[in-house]
Amino acid sequence: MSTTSQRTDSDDVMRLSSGIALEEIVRPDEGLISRRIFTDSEVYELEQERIFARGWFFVGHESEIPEPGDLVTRSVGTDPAIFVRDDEGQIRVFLNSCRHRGMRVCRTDRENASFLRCPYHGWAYKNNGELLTAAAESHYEEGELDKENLGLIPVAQLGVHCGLVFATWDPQAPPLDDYLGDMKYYLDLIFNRTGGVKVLGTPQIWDVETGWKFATDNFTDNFHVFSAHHSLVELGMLPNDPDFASHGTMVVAEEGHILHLTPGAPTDEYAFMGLPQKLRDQMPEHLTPEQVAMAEKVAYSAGTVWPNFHWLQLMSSGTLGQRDVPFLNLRLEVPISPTRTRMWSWLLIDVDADPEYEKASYETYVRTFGPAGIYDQDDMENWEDCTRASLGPAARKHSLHHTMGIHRPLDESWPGPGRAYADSYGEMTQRSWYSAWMRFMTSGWSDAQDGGER
Amino acid sequence: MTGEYVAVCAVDELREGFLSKHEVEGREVVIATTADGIHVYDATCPHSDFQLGPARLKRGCEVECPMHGARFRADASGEVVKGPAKDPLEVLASRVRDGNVEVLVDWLLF
Repeated sequence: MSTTSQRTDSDDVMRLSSGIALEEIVRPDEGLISRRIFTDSEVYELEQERIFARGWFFVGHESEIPEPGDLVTRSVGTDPAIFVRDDEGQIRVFLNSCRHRGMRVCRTDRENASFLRCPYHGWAYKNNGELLTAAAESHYEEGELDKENLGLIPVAQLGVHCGLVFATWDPQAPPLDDYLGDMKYYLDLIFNRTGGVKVLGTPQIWDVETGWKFATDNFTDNFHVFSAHHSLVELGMLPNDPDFASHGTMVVAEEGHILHLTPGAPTDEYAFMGLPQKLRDQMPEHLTPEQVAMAEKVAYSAGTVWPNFHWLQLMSSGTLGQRDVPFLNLRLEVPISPTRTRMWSWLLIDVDADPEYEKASYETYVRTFGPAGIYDQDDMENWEDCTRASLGPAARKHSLHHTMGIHRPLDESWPGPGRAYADSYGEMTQRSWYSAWMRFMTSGWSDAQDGGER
Repeated sequence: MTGEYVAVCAVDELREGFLSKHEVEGREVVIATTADGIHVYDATCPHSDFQLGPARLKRGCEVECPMHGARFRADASGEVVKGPAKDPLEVLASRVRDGNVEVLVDWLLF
């Protein structure tokens, strides 16, 4: 019996060791997604090679490392990484692992350093990756230590859009510009709306006992809000209307790159993402007239750059009975094991924001999102329970259900790029995400990229 | 005085906030350029004998050895800011003349 998943020549499908083909158990076109892919260790291992070794992953925002020598530790895919601005000011991303024995070279969350010294044997690297000394160097004979070829391992490609830094380990991956494709239009709408955004403080990082895809699925899901977060409805923080978040547009910008643009109450307070007038006034300088008109109708937006990076542009009240205040939150899920995921959460603020608005936005974010936020608390309970309840041998035989809006017509009048649907309740974006997942799991880059509708 | 001043490099080549590496009369030296001035040291870390190389000055005013993290004041003293080094950097007498940094090459000691 085969113990490894493989692609057979005879039928050109990806088979798991049990003989079952992924194509049989994951059918995005029909909205049927096997529970196995959320918790199965074999699928998880396959994802490491097929997705995390190949895709483009969010590393951080340029504003997190403004000065030469600034560095923070991150993950690229599932590998530990160092996100650093070298002494010459160039942004670089390296595998956080010594070339000698593999020890993590940088063991802090953040610091300013010209040199990175491995704590194990003392190999020391410059912050541009160059190996300076292997320590005890006099004990190497001539030719035993090729320092020039033993620098820190850099990512294969690095790309930046709107200050968002992405990296991939795969030299064959298309450039970031091509990978993002039409998603750039929407990234610009959110991140380039004013004179720039910056990270406020440091990201919150915590682990959740969930398969990572339960969380990614949730970040493109408007219709869970009324139910999963019903305590907020009861407290008057959300409208008491099951359809309140259904009146927007969902967009598949590229297969897997998906977003929601949702209006709030029909008042000026909820126009232009709820931003203060000073920031609204900057939009025409930075966005096209078409994007400005789009922004006017947006109070809430959730977007995903495939596979695991999200933005949340939301409005909520930080204090009961107070007015709603907008905030911009970045999210990343990094799988730790089939059933454990490290969550990353950043708060961003427009660089030209006034201090009072910045404080209100900060307060609203910490009370609603992040590990102690009301929304995240509810979501984590769902992700963890979905994971636990999908682990057993009986549950694993059954698919999860993603059929809402399978027959929903496209909104041909939508002015922006991508496939748009004039309804924010549906599973069109989730099906697109799983279609992209299947392409990565079963195809090479040329097939995975062809972008057609499935 | 048994020596003479020898040009090491042009001041224009130096960058404030950085340590640069040079050779003069067969000896490896480093030059720290700070907001307060230009200082020349022997390139050998007094702790480990590691040969210091070009680098950014820590906080604009300290020389750091990559090998064990010893830090030295990038001033006329070269004294230790943080261990493991116990002795200061060897400070070489220097001056700026005609747009060049010059060090005193003392033929008895150099």
